[in-house]
Amino acid sequence: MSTALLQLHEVSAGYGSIQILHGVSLHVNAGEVVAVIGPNGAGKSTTFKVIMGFISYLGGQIAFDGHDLVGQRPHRILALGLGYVPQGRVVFTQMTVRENLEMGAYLEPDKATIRASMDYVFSLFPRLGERPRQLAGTMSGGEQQMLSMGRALMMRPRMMMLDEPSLGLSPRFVDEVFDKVVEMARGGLTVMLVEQNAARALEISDRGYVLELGRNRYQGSGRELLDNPEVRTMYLGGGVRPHAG
Amino acid sequence: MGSQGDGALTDLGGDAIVLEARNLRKAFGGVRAVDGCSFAIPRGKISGLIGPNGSGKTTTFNLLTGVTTPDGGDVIYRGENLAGHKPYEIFRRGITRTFQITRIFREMTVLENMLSVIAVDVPNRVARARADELIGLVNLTHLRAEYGGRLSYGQQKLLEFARALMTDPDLILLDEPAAGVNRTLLQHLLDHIHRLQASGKTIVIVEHDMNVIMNHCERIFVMDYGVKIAEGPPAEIRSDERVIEAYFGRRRSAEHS
Repeated sequence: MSTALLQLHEVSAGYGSIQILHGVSLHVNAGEVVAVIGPNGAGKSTTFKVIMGFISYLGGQIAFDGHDLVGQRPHRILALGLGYVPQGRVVFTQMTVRENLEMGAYLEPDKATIRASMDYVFSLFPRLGERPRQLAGTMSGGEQQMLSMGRALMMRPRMMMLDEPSLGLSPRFVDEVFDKVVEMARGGLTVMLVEQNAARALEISDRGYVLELGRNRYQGSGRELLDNPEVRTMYLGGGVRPHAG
Repeated sequence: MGSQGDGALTDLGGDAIVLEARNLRKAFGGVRAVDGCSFAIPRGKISGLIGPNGSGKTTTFNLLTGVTTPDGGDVIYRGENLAGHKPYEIFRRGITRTFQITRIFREMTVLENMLSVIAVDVPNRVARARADELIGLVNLTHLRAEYGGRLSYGQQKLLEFARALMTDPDLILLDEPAAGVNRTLLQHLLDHIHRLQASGKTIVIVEHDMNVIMNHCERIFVMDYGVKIAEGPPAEIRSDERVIEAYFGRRRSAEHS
């Protein structure tokens, strides 16, 4: 198991006095696309936040590329090669596309490296390259999502964590965002994504984890989870009391 | 958008409906949060309003209670169209609500919070007696002199719930009552919701906890992308393929076939 790029072992975490994760375990191998799905309150986003060091950690082990992440500050984790795209298209609305991307490289001192990263981002997202001077706040939701992903790529991470990349997007952009994830993965990036749109996420994932109320519930290949009727209906509370009401 | 659910309206009959929303619409910038949503809330029952994140549930509550002004559509309540009315005007007609993120006064005590919603023409003695009774019902009597800001999150939700009942409303809209409330308090809250129903009140619950929805609501409305996609009793909703797809998503191959 030590070959995994990212490994969580029985991780517990929460917000203040409210515990959300009750011993979640998962791993992501280099080059994989892994989906984390589950109903609201499952602890999907919380799992990402505890990995990135944003919230209080209560127990368990988190390792990335041989480094212990517990107690590390977010900027240190970023520097280790773990990128993170938060939920909700968080961009600097009063900054241009280019400035947003530069912000993504704030830990990188070398200008030539930054320029090369920006070229790479523009090649992946041509629409961003066409309008480097547009204010981010004037872009559509889908474009902002692309910008948010592009900004995380500016540090050239080995692995990227995407929190609900398709949330609130029109169907056309949903397609585009998933296409981009596949494209990034083909380019060698390891990806872990949290998605509300479980079907779409599993479709592009090698493996998936289903969380429920802060615990592991199912795991398997994307295909297995897609075809598991229990996974489909657990969103409606069917797993607990199938014939209640 | 089709005429889905129109049949459901007729078999309930006019008298059995406490509030009817017709073609409600609200856009925020380019996002059509509520996009022509129609439904009729059955009188004297506990109903659930569910849907994936961003499907328009809370916006719908905001439109029904005047917190947000609709771009179009009607909210028919007791023969009157409340669309576009101010929150306090709607509140005075007997519709109250709680919020997903509690909105209690943190610098006021529990008792003061309760009294804050009482109209000036209610005698102080009557208001206090009612406040004390409701505080007792949600098990906060020992905290009645405590500041709102010092209550736990679950206790704040109970306080907001109790406060919503101060004016003896007919229609009570609860936005995520179970979130952050521990099991014991939740059971207490649910018992109380059933008692309210037994006394003739109508309750609508927006909730992500499906066990609350499926085990306590008689009728469920399901929203996706700002419209109602299904309506029916829990057993029906649970096996409705459109609802499962709304939550689980749809494979791309399925969409394009």
